[in-house]
Amino acid sequence: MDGSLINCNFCATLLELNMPQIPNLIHLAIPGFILLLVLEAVAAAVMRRDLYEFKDTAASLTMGTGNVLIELLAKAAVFAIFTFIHRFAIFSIGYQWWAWLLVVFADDLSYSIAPAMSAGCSGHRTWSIILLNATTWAPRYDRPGPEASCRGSSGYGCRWLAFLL
Amino acid sequence: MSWIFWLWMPLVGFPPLMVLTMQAISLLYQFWIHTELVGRMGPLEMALNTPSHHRVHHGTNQRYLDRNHAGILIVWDRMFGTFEPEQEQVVYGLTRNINSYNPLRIAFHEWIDIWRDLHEPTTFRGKMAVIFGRPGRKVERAAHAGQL
Repeated sequence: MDGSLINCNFCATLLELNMPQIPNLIHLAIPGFILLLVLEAVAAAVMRRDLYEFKDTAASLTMGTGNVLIELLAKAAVFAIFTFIHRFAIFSIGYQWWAWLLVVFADDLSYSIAPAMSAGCSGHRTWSIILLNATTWAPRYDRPGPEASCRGSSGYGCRWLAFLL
Repeated sequence: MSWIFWLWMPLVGFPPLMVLTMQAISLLYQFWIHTELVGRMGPLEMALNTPSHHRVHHGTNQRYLDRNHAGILIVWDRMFGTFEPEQEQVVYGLTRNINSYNPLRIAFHEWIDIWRDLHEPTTFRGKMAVIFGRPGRKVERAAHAGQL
């Protein structure tokens, strides 16, 4: 390689991300996840409640680990996109305390409307998977009955959209 | 691709790193609500997403489908009419269960299902409907034909 690949601006942005600014909270929390998991398993055993299935837990942990690995790259790409968009920012918001308060509500709103907008309103299962992921969402829309459809503007997803517009 | 729903935040002016950090905080919050050991939490149930609310989210009971999408605050679901309190016993899973513990199968089963469904219709129009139609289409048609 002549090095041109790592000289591109986009790659430079990605590489800069390796410099920690705010510590990766998910990675820091992993010991806490494990501790709480063990605590719950012990509590379940003491209470004689059948809450854990070994295979299920193993699959879940594998997927969690895979997710952390994929996110290492995905987050960098998203950061690059956000940084680009931020150049056109309407307001200048820094890391003030009120900004953190606002961001709680802003993030939570984005999180809550995502499934309704990508699957509820469009009702397209392919898009539901692309926009979110198949595991949690798409199959849940696979059901009979009047609630299954979101034709035109009748579905709840569109109600969310209408609120935003 | 879910990041497109967060795009408005850097555009408004939130620092990109703040947006990503908040996403991580939200994910951290959501760890503890995935439990059957915590019952109801009194007045907290009004504003916060709790284990009780989130059990409903993962339920396949007809009345629990597509409900309680909340992350940290349950108020959004209450506002938009997608809130459902936990009443009947939650039956977990998917409406069409996959009976597999293979992580790859879990991650990609819906893609595989679409691929399979694609072979059914003979017309181009029909194939397009499989890709771009509503996920409930197949079930609805089967119900219509009296197969369910």
